[in-house]
Amino acid sequence: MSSELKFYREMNEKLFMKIGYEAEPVSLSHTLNGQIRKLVLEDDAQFEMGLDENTVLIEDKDAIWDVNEHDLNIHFKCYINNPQFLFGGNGVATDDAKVGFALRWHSKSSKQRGTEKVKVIDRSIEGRCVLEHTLKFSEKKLFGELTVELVLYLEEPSSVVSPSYASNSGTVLGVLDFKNFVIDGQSSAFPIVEVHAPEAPLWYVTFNYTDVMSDSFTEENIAINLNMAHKNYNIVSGKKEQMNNPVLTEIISSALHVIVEKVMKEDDSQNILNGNGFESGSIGEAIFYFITTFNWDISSPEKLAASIRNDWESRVGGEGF
Amino acid sequence: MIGELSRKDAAEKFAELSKRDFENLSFPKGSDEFRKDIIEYSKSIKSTIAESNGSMYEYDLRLGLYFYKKINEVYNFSERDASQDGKWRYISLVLLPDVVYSRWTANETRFFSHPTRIYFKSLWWYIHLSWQGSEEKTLEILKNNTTDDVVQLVERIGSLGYRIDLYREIMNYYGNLEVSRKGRSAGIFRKVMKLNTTRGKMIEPALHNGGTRGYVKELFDYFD
Repeated sequence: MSSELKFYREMNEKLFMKIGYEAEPVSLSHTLNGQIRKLVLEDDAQFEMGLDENTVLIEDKDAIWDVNEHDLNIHFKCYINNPQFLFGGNGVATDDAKVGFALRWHSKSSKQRGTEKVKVIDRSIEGRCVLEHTLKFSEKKLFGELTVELVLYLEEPSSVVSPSYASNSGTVLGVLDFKNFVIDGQSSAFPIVEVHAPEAPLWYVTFNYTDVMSDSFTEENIAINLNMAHKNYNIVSGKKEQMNNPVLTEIISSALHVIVEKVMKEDDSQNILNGNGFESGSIGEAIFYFITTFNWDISSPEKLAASIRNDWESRVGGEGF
Repeated sequence: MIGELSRKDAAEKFAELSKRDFENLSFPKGSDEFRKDIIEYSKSIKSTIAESNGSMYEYDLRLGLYFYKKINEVYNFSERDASQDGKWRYISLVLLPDVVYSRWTANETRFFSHPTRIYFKSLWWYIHLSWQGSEEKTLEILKNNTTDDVVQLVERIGSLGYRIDLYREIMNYYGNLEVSRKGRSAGIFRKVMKLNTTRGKMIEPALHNGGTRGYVKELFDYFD
């Protein structure tokens, strides 16, 4: 979740424990000759990929399912044992409001996202609340990876204004759970691209973003271009893997300097420094991360240049990005 | 089949085609009919537009609709394909380089270098994000737009991807605004898209109790 400062109550650790959330394992299926076929996954593949418990590699044990030919159904079932705690004094909604649960999905690599409502409840609910829903994706829709979140949201606000409670219908009040699905293996990398630009220098940075707070930190929006047409290109040899090449290290340090200075001139720079309002994966988040986690010093150009190099040179050859 | 071209290969291919001024090109086997259809259609709308003093937007819109329908039919092209830039580089530089060239000359951003401006990619997503169920209905809501609207829509992808249902609803609402309505010429579309980016950080449009439609109406009403 973003670290934006909110003026209304949201789900927190304490409330999450009180409501008693439980989930059954997610199950997958698809249509085959008009019938629903359960998808059994290759266990070894999960293990070999070193995936965490929230990530599922979709590899059919019987090698029948193919994203190009078959749809994909993802079935979720979970329980909220004490839903009443969501309302009133220590809850996230007033006693006369309605809250809902929804599955919100996104796939950056498929350039798409969506949301489906699962259930709406109010204070009068008795006993445990069962949430069950199937997300259906048609064949040839998804590419790369998919993330699905179970979110709690405000369906209908109180009829009277209640400070400290969210007041807009559709406001997301918390993420209860999430799962990642891998359909096509790994993607995404540091935004270095190789270009063929006869008149241009060995390297240069290009900016194509519209909004630093939402546009992703990828080559579509910010790119460090290495020019294959340049006579010195062989010195950097264009191999992104060779991060310990000193010339390449220097290029990247300089390019990152340019990027930080540029973004710090945007209207949103103060929000970035405060860690407010940017979306996950955005340029704003990346810059926030560089500055806070890697201790880049933006107080002056010379300090910035030195701190980027200190940090970057200490990491190349090591873990890298 | 639509192949893929890496960014590096695309840069090389572009350099090679530029050197030859995009002349004496050769094309992949089996693409003749598809190419012929696109090229003939492109020529016919060009002459119609020249006669009626039409705009480049009109050309882009007509060609976009035709291309969208054709490539989806002939190549079973889908969102999965359309999200892979390698495929768009292939379409630009291998399948239809002459058509891109005739619209943009040797402008590398339109061929491969700027991912949201690759010509056919921006047309395809523009149509897809505006789709109203049929070609006629889609044309109807898009006919009064401008090339700036294409940019405003296609480039506002956000960090997690397009909310396709939401964008189709926004395009429907915008397309049905009176052309004479003051807001339209005052850049209301750009404003609405910006407001949506801000609101979308806290509110999930599909979860609004008025539905996506209700959410969209509020966006437009804000500027009334």
